[in-house]
Amino acid sequence: MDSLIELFISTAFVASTMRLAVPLILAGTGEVISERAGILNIGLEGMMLMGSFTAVLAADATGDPWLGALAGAVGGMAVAAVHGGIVIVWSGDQIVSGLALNLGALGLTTYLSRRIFGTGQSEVAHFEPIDIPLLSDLPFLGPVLFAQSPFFYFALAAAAVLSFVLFRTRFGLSWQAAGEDPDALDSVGISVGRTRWTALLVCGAMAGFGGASISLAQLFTFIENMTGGQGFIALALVIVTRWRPMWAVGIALFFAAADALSLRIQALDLAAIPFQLSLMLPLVLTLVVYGFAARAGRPPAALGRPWTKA
Amino acid sequence: MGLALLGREHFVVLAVMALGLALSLLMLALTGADLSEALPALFNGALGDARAIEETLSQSIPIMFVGLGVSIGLRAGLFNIGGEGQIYVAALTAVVVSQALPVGNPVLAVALVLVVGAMAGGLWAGAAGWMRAYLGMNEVITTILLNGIGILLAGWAVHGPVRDTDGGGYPWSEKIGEPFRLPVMDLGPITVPAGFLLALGAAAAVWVLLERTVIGVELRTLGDSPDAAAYAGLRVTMLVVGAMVCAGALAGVGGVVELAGKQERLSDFFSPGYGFTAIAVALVGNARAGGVALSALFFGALTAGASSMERIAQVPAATSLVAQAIIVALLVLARSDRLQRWVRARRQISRMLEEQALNDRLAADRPAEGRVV
Amino acid sequence: MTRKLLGLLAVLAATAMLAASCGDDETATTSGQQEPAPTAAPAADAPDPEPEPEPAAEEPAAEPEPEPEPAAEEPAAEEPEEALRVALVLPGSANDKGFNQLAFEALPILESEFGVETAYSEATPVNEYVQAFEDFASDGYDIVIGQGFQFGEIAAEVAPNFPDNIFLVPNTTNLSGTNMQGIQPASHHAAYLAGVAAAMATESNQIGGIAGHAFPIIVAQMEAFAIGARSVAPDADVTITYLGTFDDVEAGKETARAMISSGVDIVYHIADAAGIGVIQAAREEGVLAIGWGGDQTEIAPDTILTSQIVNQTLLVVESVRAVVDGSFDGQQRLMGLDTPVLGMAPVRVVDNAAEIEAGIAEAKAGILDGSIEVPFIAEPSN
Repeated sequence: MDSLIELFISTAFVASTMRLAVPLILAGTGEVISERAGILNIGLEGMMLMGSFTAVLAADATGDPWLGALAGAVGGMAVAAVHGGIVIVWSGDQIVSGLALNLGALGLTTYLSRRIFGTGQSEVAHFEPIDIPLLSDLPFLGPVLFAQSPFFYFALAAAAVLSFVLFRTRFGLSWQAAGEDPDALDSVGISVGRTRWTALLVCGAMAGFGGASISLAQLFTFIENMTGGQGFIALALVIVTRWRPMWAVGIALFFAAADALSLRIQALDLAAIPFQLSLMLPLVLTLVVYGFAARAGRPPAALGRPWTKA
Repeated sequence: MGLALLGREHFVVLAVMALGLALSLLMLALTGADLSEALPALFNGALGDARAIEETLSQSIPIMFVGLGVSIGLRAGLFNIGGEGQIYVAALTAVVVSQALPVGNPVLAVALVLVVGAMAGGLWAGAAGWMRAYLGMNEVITTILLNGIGILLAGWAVHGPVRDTDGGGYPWSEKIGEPFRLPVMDLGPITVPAGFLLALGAAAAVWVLLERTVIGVELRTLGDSPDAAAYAGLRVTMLVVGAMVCAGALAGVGGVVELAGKQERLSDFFSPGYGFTAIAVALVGNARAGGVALSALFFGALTAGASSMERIAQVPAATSLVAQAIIVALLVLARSDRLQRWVRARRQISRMLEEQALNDRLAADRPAEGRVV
Repeated sequence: MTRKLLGLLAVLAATAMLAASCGDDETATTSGQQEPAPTAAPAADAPDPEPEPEPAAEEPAAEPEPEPEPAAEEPAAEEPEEALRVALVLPGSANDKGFNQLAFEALPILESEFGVETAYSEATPVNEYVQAFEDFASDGYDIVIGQGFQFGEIAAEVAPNFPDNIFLVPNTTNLSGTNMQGIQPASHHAAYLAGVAAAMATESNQIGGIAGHAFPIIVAQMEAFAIGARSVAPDADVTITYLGTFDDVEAGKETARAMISSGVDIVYHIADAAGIGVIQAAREEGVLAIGWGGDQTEIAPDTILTSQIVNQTLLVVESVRAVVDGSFDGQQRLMGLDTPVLGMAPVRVVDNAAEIEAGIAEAKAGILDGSIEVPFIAEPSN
């Protein structure tokens, strides 16, 4: 038990939690925005995966990780655009569209990575952790907060900015209206379709950044299905946040801590648990937390419902 | 499923599948694959000879079972994405029971593992149904999480408790006993796995359930409008849990049939994604038993063909995933509100035009009266 | 399109080469073409002089006996006008940066060295193993190779139905028959050497080992690694972890970071793509790593102390070579430390590299002459 407590306050554990939380924060805040505007994105995983792929593609071609990150956002937005076409323009079923996009992104990235990279692909231009001068030398806080990849700082900033926009600007209010009462939004002369489009594309970009953060700041390469279900964890996370961007940061850190713990249980022989069972830990925990939170918040009233002008 | 039944919906599905395949092939061509080699390989691998047809049938069995389960959920407005986990949990239970109870009579033995598999799968999915009904948790997310847990559970078992001690220690279970295995039927030109007949039987049973029982009607009412269902006095929670249990039971039987009729042992990589393909199967089959059976055959053929295309023409088999995705996406479009409205509007317009034409003709026949505009 | 065309040209060229050289001097041709892989020559051509000091008591030395020319009955000799066709069935993805990829990389070598025509199937689902073997066999592939233990029983099931084809299974321990053969490298012997190197390089006396799945052949290597380390430093703290995945780079990376944060200063991996994460973590945290498979120094030149060579590429090439040169006898083969399939890459990075090299050489000699016995432990000990 002592060793567990020691672990929780250890620099390495907390730093690792921060790292693992980054893709969840990015994708989670994006999904909050999209759901606030009434669009459910089961295809979040696919957007992340596509972002991972296009980021590597661009970083490989240009040798510039920043262009790679940008391309990751574009990749995510491209998948979001397909979703928008299906569910906003054509009012198709949001869940089925999302499932198709997950399948399609997995198939397409697997196929294209093989066609383009063959088997010889190695590390691409990527992000190393940024050591912020002076601050990164602080004990504990230094390595935990001030020696992370640029995505970490971007994720925190994006969550704050999106939170501000959502709750404090007219633009954000129209997002909320599009998810709560699209008819009312329409009656004041604002296009529901256009409002939902912007929210969805923001979500696509954020998910794409999330995917890029995995490929460019963690693994430096593209591997088939490399997002490995993080998009689904992010989906559950959104419900627990009760659709608040800043909460996504805290909840993502919580899930990431579970993830980091499950990896460490094996690595440090903390308990005689077979590895499959320790890998279950984050999944079970997500399920339990989701279970407690499911009834606590109320989803946007028009979430998942297509809207057309009467 | 005679031609007489080929209505507008069937035509739409066929068109979507054809368009989906065409787009997938276009992607292959655009990315430099040699279609003159790939296309025959695709076709021959699916239907080229007896062995190919047998592989198509064999591939269609598990996705038919799981697809039928997904369809029951869809009728009630539930998305069961958890087929994968249900398959693993059911197959694991069957392995454990077959090892614990060495039944000698093949009929009893097979019946036993089918029943326990159905129970295990039913419980696994039923848990998601319960979470939906009583905790308000979205079944899409819970079934996906339960997938991961179920697969890890099976993985733990084949590395530990049920590992084959005689297999050089490779992490897979011992082969299930002889009596537990499903036979293969020799039908002259081809052989058909008994599991295929079971799958057809399941399709018939699901057809009866959905189209000929009160439960089927209730499920549909629930799927069309939960409010209406509650208003009509239906026990919504019971229906939700029940639909998920049925869906899981079918997926579980699918897993056991794969175990008893094909792989004979459980391993980490037992299911290559049957649970996900089954969703496409159910959607293309429009959640109707007959449609699901046919679409399972189609996707079985697609999988068999794509694998053979990879082996012979060296085109990555991930192509079949892309084809599935395109088909499902096109199908959403085809069934989208907007298109439906558009079709309805067009139909109305053409009906009006026809009426007008009729009136015109009538008017022409009776020149005494003036033209009606 | 161009790839296709190139492939066709390669096959044509290969056919021409084979046709031109298919006289009686078939063996001469093969050995003549071995230049690109010079280390391969001693193993394949001169196994006779060395009387296999390490047969591991399992099989009485499979290779030496039919070295003379029984070429008459081999497929290569039967139809010399057509290129031999070889198919490889991979259980995982051909770019897994390890087990599957290394085997995959044997295909171009087979094409250039033996003039064969090749095809492959990657990430083959378990439920298609039999189908893949049968497809390739009935599609005219003379040799079908299944990369990995699990194909042993598939070969045993399929081979009798295709008597004209040969089924080879690298990394399986028990497969013999008229048209099938298992080839097993004694990888745990090399792992012992990796353990020796790790123990001689560590300063904290804490060593980490990270593996993918707890397959017996993997467990045996991790255990041998620990035994090798303790042979040098009896009090060394060796932590071994099984990730449960070969693909999850992030899991490898975080696990390695966790180990390093607890004081480990050298990590060893058998984890393919996830192992890349292990090496990345070592590089970022400034500790040493030991690679696996090929020489992985290129991935992180300042981090990789050495690599345990388990040359899957060569294993596949050698298994096919036996068929091409007529020495195929359908008996299970064991490839020991005396073959170029196994060994250690040069030791780099540290100051006492020469000393470590010497320690490795000494241990290797001990294993080869039998004075050091490396047990095959199939179950994780902790």
